[in-house]
Amino acid sequence: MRSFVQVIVSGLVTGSIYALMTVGMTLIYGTLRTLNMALGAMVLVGGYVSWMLFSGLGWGPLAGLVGAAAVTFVFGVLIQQVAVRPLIGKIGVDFEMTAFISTFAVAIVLANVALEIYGARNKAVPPVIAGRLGLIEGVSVSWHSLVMAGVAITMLVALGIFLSKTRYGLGISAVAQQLDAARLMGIPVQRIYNLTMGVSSALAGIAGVLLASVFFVSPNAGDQPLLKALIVAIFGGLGSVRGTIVAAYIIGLLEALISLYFGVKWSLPVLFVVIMIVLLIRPTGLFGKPEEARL
Amino acid sequence: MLETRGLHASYGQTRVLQGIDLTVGDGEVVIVIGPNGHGKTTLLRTISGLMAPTSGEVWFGGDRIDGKRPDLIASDGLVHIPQGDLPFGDMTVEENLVLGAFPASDWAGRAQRLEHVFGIFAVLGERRGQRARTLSGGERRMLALGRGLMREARMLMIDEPSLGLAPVLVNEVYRHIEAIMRSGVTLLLVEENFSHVHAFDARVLLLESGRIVREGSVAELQADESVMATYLGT
Amino acid sequence: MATVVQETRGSVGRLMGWRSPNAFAVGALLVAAVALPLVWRNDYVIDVALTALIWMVLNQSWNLQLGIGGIWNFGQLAIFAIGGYVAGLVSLHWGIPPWLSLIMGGVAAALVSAVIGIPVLRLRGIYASLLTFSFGEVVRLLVISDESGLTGGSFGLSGIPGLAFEGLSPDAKQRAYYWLVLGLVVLTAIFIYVFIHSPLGTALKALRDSPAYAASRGVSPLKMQVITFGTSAFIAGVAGAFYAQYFGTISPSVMGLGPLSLFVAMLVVGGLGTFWGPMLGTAVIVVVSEVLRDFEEARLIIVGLILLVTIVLAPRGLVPLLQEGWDRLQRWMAEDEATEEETTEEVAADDEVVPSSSVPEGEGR
Repeated sequence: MRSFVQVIVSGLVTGSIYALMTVGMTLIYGTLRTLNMALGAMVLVGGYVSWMLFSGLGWGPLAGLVGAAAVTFVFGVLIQQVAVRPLIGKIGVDFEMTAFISTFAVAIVLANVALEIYGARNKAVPPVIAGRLGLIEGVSVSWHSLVMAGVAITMLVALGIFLSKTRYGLGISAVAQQLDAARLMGIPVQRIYNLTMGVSSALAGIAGVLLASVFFVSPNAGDQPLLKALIVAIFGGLGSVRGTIVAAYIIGLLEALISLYFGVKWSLPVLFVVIMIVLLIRPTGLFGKPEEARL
Repeated sequence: MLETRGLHASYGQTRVLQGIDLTVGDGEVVIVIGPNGHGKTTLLRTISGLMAPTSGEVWFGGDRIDGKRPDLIASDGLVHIPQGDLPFGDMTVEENLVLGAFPASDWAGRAQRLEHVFGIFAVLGERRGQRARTLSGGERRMLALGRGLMREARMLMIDEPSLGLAPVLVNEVYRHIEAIMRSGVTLLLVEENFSHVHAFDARVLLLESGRIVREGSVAELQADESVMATYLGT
Repeated sequence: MATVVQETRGSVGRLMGWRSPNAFAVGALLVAAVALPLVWRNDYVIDVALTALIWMVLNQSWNLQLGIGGIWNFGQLAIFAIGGYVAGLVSLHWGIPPWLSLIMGGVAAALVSAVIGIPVLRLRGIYASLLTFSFGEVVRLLVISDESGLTGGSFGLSGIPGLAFEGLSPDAKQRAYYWLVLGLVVLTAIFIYVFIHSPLGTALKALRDSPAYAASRGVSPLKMQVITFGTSAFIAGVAGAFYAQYFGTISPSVMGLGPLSLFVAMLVVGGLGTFWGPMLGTAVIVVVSEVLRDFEEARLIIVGLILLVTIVLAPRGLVPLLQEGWDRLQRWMAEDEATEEETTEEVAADDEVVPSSSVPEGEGR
């Protein structure tokens, strides 16, 4: 019972963070057909922004969240303009491949610029709320984890409302589903692209702030979240926002389960084997569109 | 309202439009008829900006619009209802329709427009919460037409509204189109033959191999046996 | 427009760097490469050149998948490392002769890639890149967190005996290694050249360019790709084994995002899918890295920027660009007979490739 509760709690917390990362990846892939490898770098940027606001200006965690979201939004738009937009419509090269590589290049540049500016040393950011909450006997959860899950879920709900209720949110889904029809409706595609990149990057930036006080901020702070997001993306299949969120929670719970029974070290390898098996059965992941993934 | 001058367009090496000159006057109904693969759809796509012409000009309401972004052309009030309907499959009928009113000038009035469209296409009202991909072929066509009516249109272009539908449904679709025509809108309609438009009071352009080869009223062309041998329809 | 290029220049193959190499130029290049350690007797320089040659073998193998086969494998560094680790382990623990360990490293790499290949080769591009990328990371993290002492964890495996060049002075030994790996580069190049011109290679390229067309001509995608995947992994594994034997050590630091960015930069800068691209790109990036040797931290920034600029401005890489330039030069020198018509058509064709699309919206696919 005790371990069961523990797995559920930590699975839900990590799943929320994974969802926050990967939803952005799905959105960008849906509208722009770009697998954005720079999302990991946005985690990094978000972490450093909150660290600077905290240690430089003494501002609180909320300012960190807002500041990081704003900065990473701008970064997202810049990446779209510099690294993705020039590739659209080029003849004789595969767009998805070149966009993958160009966003990867951006990630490398940003991580090493961070190294140059801040050095390799870890920066600590304090938790939003210190202390732990006892759940049942022997199982407790840190308040910060609850805040993480709370913020992440709030963002996901807000994203859902944005996508289904607002003019530009609907525009994003429209561009993702039927580009030509969207253009004929008068939807400005470039602006939608910018918006999608901005929003997705901001979500990753927020994840970065939340993770900052768990893992510290360092130039390679984005590597692990990126890797996890990629795993969720393969598992869920980049098909739909909802599918991605479900996949994120499944991966979060699986990881908690594996960590409990085999140790943290094995969580990644075992997950990887699980995913290989899933892919053998469903080459597009759980919720991917079959017509998309095959040759 | 609309004028093209020497419009050329191609897909890669294939020249599809080879110098199209056409005019559609204010409030006029013009029907472009031609066999499949001779450039009808490309003509509409080039006018609405989805494709860039290789040469020639497009004028709409006194402005030159070739080379302009399609979303801006659409916001100018040129409504293009594309071939194949292109619904947003994962969205509900209502969301699909609301997106039809995307341009800023139409967005505020979307609720009234929605009721207006539901008034015309009752079936869409019944299905408003249903995902577009679950609609039948006929319902999708209604959705495509309804989505076009969500905007204040200065001109409407409809690409083969009869395509792929059972005869009963085609008749229903055309009842709606005739109603739209009666509202006095400027219309450019594309069809493969005369079978659904034989009673229309409209000007017809015959499009073959990317060129306009004949022009005349529906009645005139139907009186010409050489034309009818090809375009009688079934 | 692509077809215009095809018509005016004879074949796209030529444009992509697959024209028959100029025998004289290749010979001169080879002589220069062979003579380098004799002419420039500097341990450090030879060491750098030798490392570059190992990278060239790896990059050629990678290009076979990524550029020619159209298989989006971003886990090749892990395959390289596996070759190195296996070669190191068998010669350390089992006393297998180092020469044989090179082959064993290659075979082990091919076996692992076969296991990965089962799911990867069923996937479409982007999903394959996700899976292989995370495969590489999983292997790296697994090695780093290994506390059993087998792989040495993040410090790596050391004390690997090295190939037996008995009785040679250290300098001569280094030269021997150099010539050996140079031979490996040439061998790989010849193999790839022959492979590409074989019916198998032709089918593979057809498959990459038009899966539907290839399938209609009876090309079995899976078989082609399995062969490419395995062969490529074998070559990468041998390169890894050679690396381990030469340096006497191999560690997880050969994998990870930093090295990955260096190697991807080499491939892209040279020109993916071209014959000379992997070799030229490796040389360029190694030289750039050496120039920036004193600015360790700026190095990856610069390499990342080079990669970004290349992929945005000249996504097909240097080799096609150089060849176009060379063709132009030759045409310019033989201008007399060129008609007005030809030159304008040529300019139009080239313009198409370099600037971004004239259609503002573009389709994001």
